[in-house]
Amino acid sequence: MNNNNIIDSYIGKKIQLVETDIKGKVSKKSNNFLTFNKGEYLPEKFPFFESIFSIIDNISSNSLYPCVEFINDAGEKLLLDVTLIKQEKLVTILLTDFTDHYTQSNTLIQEKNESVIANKKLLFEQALFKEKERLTNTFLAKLSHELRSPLSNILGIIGLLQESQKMNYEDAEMLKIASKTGFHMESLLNDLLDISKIKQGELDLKEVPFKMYSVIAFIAELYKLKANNKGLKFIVKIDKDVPKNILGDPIRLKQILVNLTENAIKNTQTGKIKIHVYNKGEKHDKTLVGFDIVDTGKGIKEKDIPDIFKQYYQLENLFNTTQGDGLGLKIVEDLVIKQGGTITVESKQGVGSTFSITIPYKTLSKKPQERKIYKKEDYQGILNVINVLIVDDSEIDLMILTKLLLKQLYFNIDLATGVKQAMARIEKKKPDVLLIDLVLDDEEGYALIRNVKENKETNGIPIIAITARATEEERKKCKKLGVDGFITKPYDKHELITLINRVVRKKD
Amino acid sequence: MNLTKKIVLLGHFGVGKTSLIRQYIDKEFNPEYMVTIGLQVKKKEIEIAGNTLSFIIWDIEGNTSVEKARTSYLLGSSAFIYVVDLTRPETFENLNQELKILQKQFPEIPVVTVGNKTDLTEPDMLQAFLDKRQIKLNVFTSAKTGEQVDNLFYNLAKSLLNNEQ
Repeated sequence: MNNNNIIDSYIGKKIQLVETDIKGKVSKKSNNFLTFNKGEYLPEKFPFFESIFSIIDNISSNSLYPCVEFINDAGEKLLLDVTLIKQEKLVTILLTDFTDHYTQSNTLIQEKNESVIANKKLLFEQALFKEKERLTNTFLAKLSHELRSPLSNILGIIGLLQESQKMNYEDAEMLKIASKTGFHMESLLNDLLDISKIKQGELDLKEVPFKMYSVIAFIAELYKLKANNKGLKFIVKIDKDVPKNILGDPIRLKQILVNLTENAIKNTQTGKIKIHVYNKGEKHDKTLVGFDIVDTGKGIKEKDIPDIFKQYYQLENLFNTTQGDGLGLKIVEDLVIKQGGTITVESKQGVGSTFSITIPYKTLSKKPQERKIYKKEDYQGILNVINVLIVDDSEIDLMILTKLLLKQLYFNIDLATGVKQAMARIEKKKPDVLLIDLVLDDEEGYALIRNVKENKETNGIPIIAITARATEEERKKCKKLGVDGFITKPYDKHELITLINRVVRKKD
Repeated sequence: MNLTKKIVLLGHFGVGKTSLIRQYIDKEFNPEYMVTIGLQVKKKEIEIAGNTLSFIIWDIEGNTSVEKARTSYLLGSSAFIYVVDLTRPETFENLNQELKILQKQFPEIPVVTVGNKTDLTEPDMLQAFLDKRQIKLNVFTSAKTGEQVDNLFYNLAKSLLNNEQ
């Protein structure tokens, strides 16, 4: 076979020529790899040609369609380049078989595409997960904030009623229950908010000197009576080698212990509750302080133990029990981890549970200074009358705050419900302190704060912001504007009065 | 009335163009991703109110941009179906730009935008995600379950027939 024959043979295997009229009726053909019959219509044989001949007038005189898939009479897949040459009423179709070439490249493209898809998918799933977490936490925070204002009103009115002298014993007891229920609801709201804060990285831990003994004494005082009333022994033991003076966040430690002790009492019908604090040694210049909260309660099912710290288990539990166990354990775990600690649980059904926590603390050789708690008597004689302007667009809030402050004989109260009215009173009367609700009509609270702070005549007047938005972001925003005090709803009466006295004293 | 209409499926690789056609024509689904090389052409007839419409469906290889698609594949189309994978943002984050290119090159040809793989997504999350990026899709499908696949082609056929009448 000479070279020309070899070329002809190769071309014969790879190239096929078909001639048709303008409607696709075959006039000339070769049958190298696709079979055509003279007189048959290509559009009837292959959908590809059906669409080509339906627009034949609009396609250019020489068109290339690379890599078109055809199935031959034997059922084999062929990948052909199709070239169409239009000459008046004649269409010449050149089919070139590149099946081998395209099939080989197919593997490479497949691998490349799969790898790109897998990489990007992972990134997307991570982004989606974060977005979901963010939405959930934003929702929890919003829910918590929305419920704070009405709850604050309920607790405020209950507080005022409790101070009334006209109540009989039965009414007073019922009010106590209402108050207790309200505060339970508040603690649930705080739990929700804490979860969202922790998840969004907004929870800032404090590092202040405190006495370990004071924290444990606080817990003992809070729960001893409760446990005893239930017929339970309440034992607290602090080992001698536990450092006395510590640097850390006592509030969050209290929160952890309150949650675990509350749970222990709730789940125990007979026996005892024991809190044991001990020294687990030193690590990286810190003392590992261990806390065991032991109960002889109903215990936890073995299959539930891995899930008890999970948020969704807690949420489910929250809505499935009549008592409402809260979101405590999830928060406890988050708070412990956030402080660089660990938490474990050992439990046996019918025997009881032991929650063991370890938190690393810096220790102090010096005794921390006790914070002075100011009482009403401390202010009498130092301050005469404090003129307070309360700015709030809610009549209920105004009424509660007014009544609450008027019970302290040294407050003189003035009220405003909007920015204009408030500014007029501030300029005219120069009050000693302003209590401003941040969410006056459409964020006007901030506008008022700016007005006061930007005015030379008024910028010395201390401002306390009151808000249901208990977020760090809100707190920072206020600080930036020069707000002197920040208090969230529902507020504690004593906390508010102490704050007012503090900012006024600071000014003087 | 008997009509033949060429429609072309566009979109990135792996968005499920071939799977949508397979589900529509053969009522089958293969979970394995198989890359499409070049061009596959399928035909499906559809009857609407006494009219027969033959869809010649061009399934072309996936491209990250319509600008990379061969012009010869796109010429003579009656409609484009632009498919995105709802689980892969890179397949739809430039959608608005892609539609502008199509609109410029083929101003007369309508485009249906399709979000595929609804079976793998959470509707609420997804809508928020799309809204944030100002992405509007006409149809949400699942080639796997068949959700909205027939409706996609049926409504397109109806619309093309209406344009003829």
